Amino acid sequence: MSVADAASSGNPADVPADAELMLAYAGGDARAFEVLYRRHKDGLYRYLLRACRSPDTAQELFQDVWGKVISARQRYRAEAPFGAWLYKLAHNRLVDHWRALRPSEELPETLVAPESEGPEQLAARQSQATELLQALETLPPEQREIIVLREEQDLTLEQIAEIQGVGRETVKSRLRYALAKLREVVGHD
Amino acid sequence: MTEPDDRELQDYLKGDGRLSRAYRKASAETTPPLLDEAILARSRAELKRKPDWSRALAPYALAASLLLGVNLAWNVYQERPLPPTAVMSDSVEAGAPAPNIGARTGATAEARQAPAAKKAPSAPAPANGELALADRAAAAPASAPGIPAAAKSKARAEAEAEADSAGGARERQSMTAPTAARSAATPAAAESNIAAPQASAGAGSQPALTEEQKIDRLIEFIGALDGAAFIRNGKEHSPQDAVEHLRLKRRKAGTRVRTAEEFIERCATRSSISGDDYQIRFADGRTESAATVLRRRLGELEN
Repeated sequence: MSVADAASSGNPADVPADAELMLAYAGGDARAFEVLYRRHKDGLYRYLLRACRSPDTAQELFQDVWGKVISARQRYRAEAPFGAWLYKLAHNRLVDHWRALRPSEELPETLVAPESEGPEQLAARQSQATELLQALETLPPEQREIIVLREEQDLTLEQIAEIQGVGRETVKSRLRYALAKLREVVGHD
Repeated sequence: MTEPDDRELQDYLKGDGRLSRAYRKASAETTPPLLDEAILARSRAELKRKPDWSRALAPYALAASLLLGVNLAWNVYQERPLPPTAVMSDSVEAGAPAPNIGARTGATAEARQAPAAKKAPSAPAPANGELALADRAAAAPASAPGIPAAAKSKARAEAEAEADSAGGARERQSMTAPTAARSAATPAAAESNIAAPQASAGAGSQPALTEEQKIDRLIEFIGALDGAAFIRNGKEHSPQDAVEHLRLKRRKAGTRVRTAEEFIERCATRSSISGDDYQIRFADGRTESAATVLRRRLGELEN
């Protein structure tokens, strides 16, 4: 059974790990890439969207990141967790994007609306979404990135430290400050 | 701002807290189907592409080109004509302005500057009111028009190193105390005092500074702000501490900082931990954001 078939078998024990799928793709299995892509696409998209706030820009960067994954498939090593590797590529792409960005770029006025919902549900969701996501937008980029990486990919502090190029304690400090600010919006547990 | 409870951090990291639930509720954005199809199509097409041998050999071609280029540059450097240096060196040491020569090699300019710089620290100890050692060393090259800015800053750095090795750090502070009284009146006066050696070089006689040089000058500028305090996360730091901190941030930033503007934005504007802006409180009590002060200084360096 190929890794792609195992992924769609419905048996949790057969679900292949990201590394297996990536290695299978490097070996020529296009369906393995599709499984991997669908598993990570939305989290990565939201990570980029939270950082650059423009859906058009996020989609452009999103394509670039996956393009790098595709072209680097032969260089991928299973020792590196795929999620951490993918978001490191995304982080580096964002850094390049900010470097080239003109200071006068305006923030978008509206958030991306989810599809297939009624107007009332949409309004309620957007109200809640607006509060938390607006609070996220007020965070310094490094703090916001940590929250999004935790929520979208469940990366460890060590993996986040590797992506941001800082020490683990720096990540912890940034996270503490971020949580303190966000809890003013969502409250405490 | 005090750090939040560590227990809250641990609760958050468990992953099922209120914030995480709220985030999951709020995060429903998904990629457009057309975008998905484009990327998947590319992934399939990539597997059908034949290996590109020219791409595989590119690193070797680059290495060969670099080797050839270095060899060629070295040969050209070895073959360069050297102007007579003995007479020139004596003229500079005697304090006479060096004649303005059109094409001058970097090695020759540095050789002439090295004796001048080494001479500066052995001059009589300055009395009150005299310029600091570093400023005098900078003023010496400034009297010779057409000297490259890099050679001047190198001369100044050498003079500072000489002063420090002789326990001159304290000596330099006491020597600069008289100038602090003069410069403490306004931050602009403090800035123009530091800018004096540059101005005396004569307008238009210096080549444009590289981005690295601008960054060096900005850091030196912070370090020379007598009586000022660098405020970071609610704590005050001396200009010397601020210099060390900025140099550390610059090293860590690596290739993410390539211009002076990027240095200001990424290293000298805010704390990467708390997000709070850095502030500078000058000797006269006035406080400004570090970014504002440095951008003003950068404007002066570039004009």
